[in-house]
Amino acid sequence: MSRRLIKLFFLASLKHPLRLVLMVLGIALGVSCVVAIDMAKTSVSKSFELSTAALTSRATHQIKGSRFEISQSIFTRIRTRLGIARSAPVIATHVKVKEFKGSVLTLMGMDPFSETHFRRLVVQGQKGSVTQNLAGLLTQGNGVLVSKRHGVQYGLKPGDTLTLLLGKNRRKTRIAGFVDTQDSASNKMLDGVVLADISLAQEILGMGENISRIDLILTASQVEKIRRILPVGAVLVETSQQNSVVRSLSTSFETSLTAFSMLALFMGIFLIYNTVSFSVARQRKRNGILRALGATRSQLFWAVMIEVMIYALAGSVLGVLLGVLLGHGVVSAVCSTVSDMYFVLTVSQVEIVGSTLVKGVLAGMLSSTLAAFFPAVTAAHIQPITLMQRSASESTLKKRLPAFTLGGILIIGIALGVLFGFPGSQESDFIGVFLAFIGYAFLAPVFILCFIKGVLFAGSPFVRGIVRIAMKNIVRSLSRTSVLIASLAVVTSVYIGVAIMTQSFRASIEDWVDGHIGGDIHVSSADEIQRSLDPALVEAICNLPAVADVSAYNIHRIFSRTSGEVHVFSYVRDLSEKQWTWTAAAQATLPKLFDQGWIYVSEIFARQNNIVPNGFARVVLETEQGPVSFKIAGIFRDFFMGGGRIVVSREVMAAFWGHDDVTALQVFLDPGVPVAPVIDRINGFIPKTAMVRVVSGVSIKHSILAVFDRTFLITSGLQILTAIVALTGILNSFMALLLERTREMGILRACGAERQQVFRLLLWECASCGVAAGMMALPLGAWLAWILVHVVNFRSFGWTYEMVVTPLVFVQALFSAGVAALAAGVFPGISAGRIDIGQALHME
Amino acid sequence: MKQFITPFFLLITLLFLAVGGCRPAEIEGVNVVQALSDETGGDCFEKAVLPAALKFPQDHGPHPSFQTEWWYYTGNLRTEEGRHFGYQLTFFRRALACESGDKSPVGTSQWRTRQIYFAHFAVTDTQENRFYSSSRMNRQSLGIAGSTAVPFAVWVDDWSAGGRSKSVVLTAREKDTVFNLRLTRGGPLLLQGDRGFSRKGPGLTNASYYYSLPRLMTRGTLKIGSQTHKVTGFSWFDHEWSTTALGRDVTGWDWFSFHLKDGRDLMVCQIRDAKGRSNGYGFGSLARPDGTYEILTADQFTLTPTGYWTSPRGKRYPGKWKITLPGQGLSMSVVPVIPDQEHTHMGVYWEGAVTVVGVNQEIQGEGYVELTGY
Repeated sequence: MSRRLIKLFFLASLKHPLRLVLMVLGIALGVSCVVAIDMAKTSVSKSFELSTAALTSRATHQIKGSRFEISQSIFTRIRTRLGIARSAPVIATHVKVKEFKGSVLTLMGMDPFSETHFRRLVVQGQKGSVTQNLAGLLTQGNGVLVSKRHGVQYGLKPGDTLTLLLGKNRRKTRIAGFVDTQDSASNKMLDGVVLADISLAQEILGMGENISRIDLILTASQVEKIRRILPVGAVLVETSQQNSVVRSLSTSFETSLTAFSMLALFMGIFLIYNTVSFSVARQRKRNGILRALGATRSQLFWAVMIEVMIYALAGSVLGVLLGVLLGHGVVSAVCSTVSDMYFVLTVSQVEIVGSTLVKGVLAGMLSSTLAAFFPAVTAAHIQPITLMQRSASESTLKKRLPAFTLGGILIIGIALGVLFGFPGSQESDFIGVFLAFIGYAFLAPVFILCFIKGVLFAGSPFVRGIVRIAMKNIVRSLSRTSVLIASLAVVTSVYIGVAIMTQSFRASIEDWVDGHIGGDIHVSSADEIQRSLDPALVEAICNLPAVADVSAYNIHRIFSRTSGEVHVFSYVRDLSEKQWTWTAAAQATLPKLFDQGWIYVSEIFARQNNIVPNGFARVVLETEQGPVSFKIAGIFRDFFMGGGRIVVSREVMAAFWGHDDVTALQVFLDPGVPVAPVIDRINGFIPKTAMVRVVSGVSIKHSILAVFDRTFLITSGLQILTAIVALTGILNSFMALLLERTREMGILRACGAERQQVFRLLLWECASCGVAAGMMALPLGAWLAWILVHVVNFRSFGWTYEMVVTPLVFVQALFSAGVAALAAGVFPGISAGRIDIGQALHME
Repeated sequence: MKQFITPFFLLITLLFLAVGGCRPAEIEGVNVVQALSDETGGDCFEKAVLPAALKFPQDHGPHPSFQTEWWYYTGNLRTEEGRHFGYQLTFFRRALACESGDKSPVGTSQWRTRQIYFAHFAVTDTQENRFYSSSRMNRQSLGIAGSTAVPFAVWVDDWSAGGRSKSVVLTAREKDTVFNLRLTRGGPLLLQGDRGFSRKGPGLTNASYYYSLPRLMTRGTLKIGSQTHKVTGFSWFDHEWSTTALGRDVTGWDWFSFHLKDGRDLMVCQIRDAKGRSNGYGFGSLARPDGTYEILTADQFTLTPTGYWTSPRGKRYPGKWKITLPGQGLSMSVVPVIPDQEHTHMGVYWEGAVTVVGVNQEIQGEGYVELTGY
């Protein structure tokens, strides 16, 4: 019997392929979001691992310098005095490779003779003579090695030129050979590297007698020996700890991805629930007949469940495939964000792990099961005759309205309890938000009742005829419309939340860029090797007649045990406007403290270094004079990523890091002076051989904003997704509603209603649903925005910014929900108008 | 006669440039003969084609105009209790390019170099039947590796040989094996071949400059694990430089050196052709306690394997030998102190301590044997 039942169910559903497709597609969309974002997360992890594995290899420790440079003589001492053979000198920096279409790779200078214990890279085995040439090229010429895959991909062969770009500085090298490990994982690792002998790398980067670091594999007893011989300014660090420091920079970014993947999952679940519950509800009549014919409750229950499960499986599998496709795009977006803001991923690896796919399928199956469960139970437990009457369901819902509402309020209460009861826990945030969504959805019926009644009451002189019927219809079929409206409200609230967050963030970024890079013209060194600006040029610019003021400063990278890489700024004249989140003393006295050697740190740096804002806030930084503890005068709001930013006085920079140069200028012009002619004049001062970048403040601002906009590419994707989810969901629901109301439509038509009128009636119903959902979404959306801004973003990026709420977002959301609903109603409306009156009336 | 090793190792090194631990399978895959016949880049190097008057102390130091060079110390040591140890400490120099010519270094970095150095360090613990072997490799940059004539020094990392006048100090350390030996010259220099010009094959350039210090009084400490032993004994030193290698049909060589109890020091060597037979350019020397010596040619001695040993790596080496020098009335049997003295790092070859006994027990001694190309 059961088998026959299931067969019957299938045959019935196959008669409506469009609905079937919509249901499977609905599930697939939800699953694909989960899969795509999860894929992005695992891919970033893998890309990081591959990008660093080639570089750090098996080293347990590294010797680094406070300025990312150490004297090469340390290596000689380690070898000849301490006899530590498992040590290798390394020079590493990021370069763009012209022949690889400007991809960023790590130029890695290494000593082949010291590498035995570290990296397992094998030069592609060729005949003896070629090998001999390799030796010549590597140790004496300008030969480099690149991965075979890259060579093939870009049509290069040994002997070809490879141009390394360091800013505007170009260095020509020659491909001495390909590296090929015969192992795909290691080869991918090599894709991010240009290997050169350490001598060539040192010359290319003009490092004199310095190297970037020394890799070591040390035993416990050797650690102390090394420490004893290290000169001031050089530090011994554990590789794993350093990697985890750098890794943790973007782990927090991935937290935000998790948040978005959870949002996608919420929407996916709502969509699936919506789709499945409608599809089951649609079969009420058939189920009633089957019960009347003798099908048992459990048979009916299982038949409903199995049917849904099979479609859910199909939808989930399709969703996984879609998700993988979608994931490829998401991965590249996420990897470029991470590269822009945290650390350069020289290898971008799309990683699809089993758990991602399982997670996707599970999300699809579980939410479908959940969605089918209650309708299936209802189908199994209601008397056959009741089951055949749709109105019975409405009377049940209306009876249970207070319980529903109370339940909703209770769930929201629990949600808030979870959210604020366990501050700082990522899991509790997710559970809290999820519960809040569910609880809010429970309030849908009461909201709709109040909303429609309110509209009918307040607008009684205007709401007449078809509009009034349409609105009453919504209340009449509350059991369906509340699910529909709740789903649409959830989706719209996500739209609102994301829109407010993006808008608020962008406003803050603009303020920040204006405050920090407020100059009309920005002059900086475009030579990544020699970054100092010529003092004569600086003077010439200062003396230009149109120049009102100049903010000159230098930026240098320093090594930090806790943050990896920190950018230190020192201004000759600081014209930037900082927004302080904490100051050690009254703001007016800060400059005095600053002159005494206190420093300013960015909010992100403060967070990474667990700086407690109080009068005794200090931080230890690696300097040329060894570790020095600095007093912190203030913490300023900042969007500069990576290891964060520090501002020190010129004296501190010169004393502790040995830089007293100027690497960048911000030029403020007299009011009304056009920028372009001044840029031309400045360019006129610059010799052709010098590499200096002169750009307008406006274009700098644009390029910075573009970087941040990319960060929110995922969120824009999410917004598009909400639109798709909304449309699919509503279309699905309306189609189902219409089917249930065929007889009603028939009667309307038989009573003389014209096709147009039926069409209009349905459109009004849809639009009303849309507006109701939009209204319902407003508070939820605002609340979600608050959570995104103050909880998720703060935790992810360390950014604090004000929430900017404009009425436009709400109007947009309301309008979008209405239009989406209206659009979804067009097709069912036309179908309703075309109903054959006789057949429709015959249906019962 | 260790000259084959250097280019062989070089090839391995280059195949594994940027490398990770040399994997035996790939080492096995390298054709030694091909490696040795590779003369690319060798044209501009100076070659040993005629006897030349060697000058000391200058010639103790490096000869960078030649492509290949080595300083080779081997010896047998005993503790006061009579516990026996063998040792080997060898330094190789290999030029990647000539001092002048197209391949001269182009850059300014101090890492730029034309010379690379290798070193092998081995200790045989006869009592415990253990063989410790390790290697080092580095470029002659920043003083990490190199050599000088005055004062004499050759080193790779913290492994070194160096000293003034008649004594040299050897130091090397690998994990828990550390040694520190002082070697004192007992007799005069021994110029191998024709006044130090040693012919190795039929080709014009198949030759090297080669001298030895056959008997060096040795004293010092040897630490293995937590135990430090005071040791004394005799060492053999070879210094040889050349540019080319051997004929194309050479597969390997068998080299022997002995300190006989009667005070004589014997060295014999044969080079094997493709069929495993001597190529006819074997050579040797016999030094007497009074400081006089005699140069031996291939027709003055015979080397006959009398037993075989298969290594855990699957190589089959002669395990025992019979050596005869009819002209000297010598007939001896050579037996390793322990069978497994196979070097497995970088390249695979057998080199270890042996004992030598006359057929009629009239002669006894200790020595070192090197077997390659098996």
